[in-house]
Amino acid sequence: MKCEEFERRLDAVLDVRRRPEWDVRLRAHAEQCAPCRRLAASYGVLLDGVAALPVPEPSADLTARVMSEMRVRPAASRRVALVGAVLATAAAVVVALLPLLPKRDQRVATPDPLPAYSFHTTEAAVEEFDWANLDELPVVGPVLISIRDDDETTDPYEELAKGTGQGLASVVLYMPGVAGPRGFIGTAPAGMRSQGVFPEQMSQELEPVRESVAETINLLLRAVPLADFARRS
Amino acid sequence: MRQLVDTYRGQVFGLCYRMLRHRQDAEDVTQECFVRALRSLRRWDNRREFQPWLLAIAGNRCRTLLASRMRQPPSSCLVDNLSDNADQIHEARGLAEEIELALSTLRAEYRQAFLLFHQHELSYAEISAALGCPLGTVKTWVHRARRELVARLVKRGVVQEMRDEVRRV
Repeated sequence: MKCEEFERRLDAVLDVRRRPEWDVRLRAHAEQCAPCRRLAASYGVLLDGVAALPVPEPSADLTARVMSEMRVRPAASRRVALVGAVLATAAAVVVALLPLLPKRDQRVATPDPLPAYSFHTTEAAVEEFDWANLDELPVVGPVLISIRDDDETTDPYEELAKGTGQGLASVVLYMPGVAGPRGFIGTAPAGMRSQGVFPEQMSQELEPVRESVAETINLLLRAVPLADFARRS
Repeated sequence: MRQLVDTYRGQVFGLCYRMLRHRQDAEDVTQECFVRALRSLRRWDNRREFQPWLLAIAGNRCRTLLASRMRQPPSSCLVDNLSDNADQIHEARGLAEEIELALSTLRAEYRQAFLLFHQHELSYAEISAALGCPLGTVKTWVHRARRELVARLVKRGVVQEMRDEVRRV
């Protein structure tokens, strides 16, 4: 066995949670090769050390805090029921008013228009939407909608955005004259860093999830009152 | 629900703490993770294992927080600073401390995969399913994590000097 093979086999042995010294071939090579012997020993030190790491304990009141938060925030279905009554009207008003909103910064260049998506939604999509997390959306401008997807496939809100499960690392939806934390059109708000993701690129990335994203846009537009956008901006 | 939280709170907090190296952040993410998970229970596919699903939520929330930290100006209070200065090695409190420090230098996805595999003893298949990543990717992350950790421990003089023998990652 050569040293390169030793290392590959060492990985394979550790992958099945066996000790390197239990493996005949590894042991045979290590007995003749001091560097590989030390390499295996180092992995042993690491993994023994990891196994012996002290287990940190959370605060005693953690469970109580979780349960309290569950009580304070209404369940999604109940909130949907409350919001549902105003959805259609709100969406119509918001969409109609968007072009009339004053520009936050007149110096912002007018970007090329994004491909027009047809916004519509379904009762099922509303039902699935994670209203509890709406408050956490990084809304930073009157018409900015930022959808951040951090590969959290188990999060229903992000599943909604992800749609086809293509594993987009992040999605920021742009609307004219607005800026977001992961890219910008025009001028980014003070304190925000641009990462230079541009509309064309975003459009291509969004193509596989067009329908789901459109649904999400629609839901957000409907769900967040205009006054909230203004308050947060 | 309370029983569920009590059963898994230690594991979730442990992962968050090791990912973030900040007790209060770990508490906050743990709390958020449970709230998200409990709210999503009715949509949870009960053919899937609960623990990997829950730990994946926690790990992903940690990665989100770590990413937001990267976008913020550096703050000394967020995590412990590491030092490559050999003179300061003696300040570390033994192997556990060194491993914690080494873990904090890993890329977040490597750290998450490594901890899920080696500390929480999930299988590659479970991690792969929970994270929505190909199994091969998870393996690669764990392998790279191990190599980087060993290289770090060698560099810090924690394990026997063998800098030349540890292959570059």
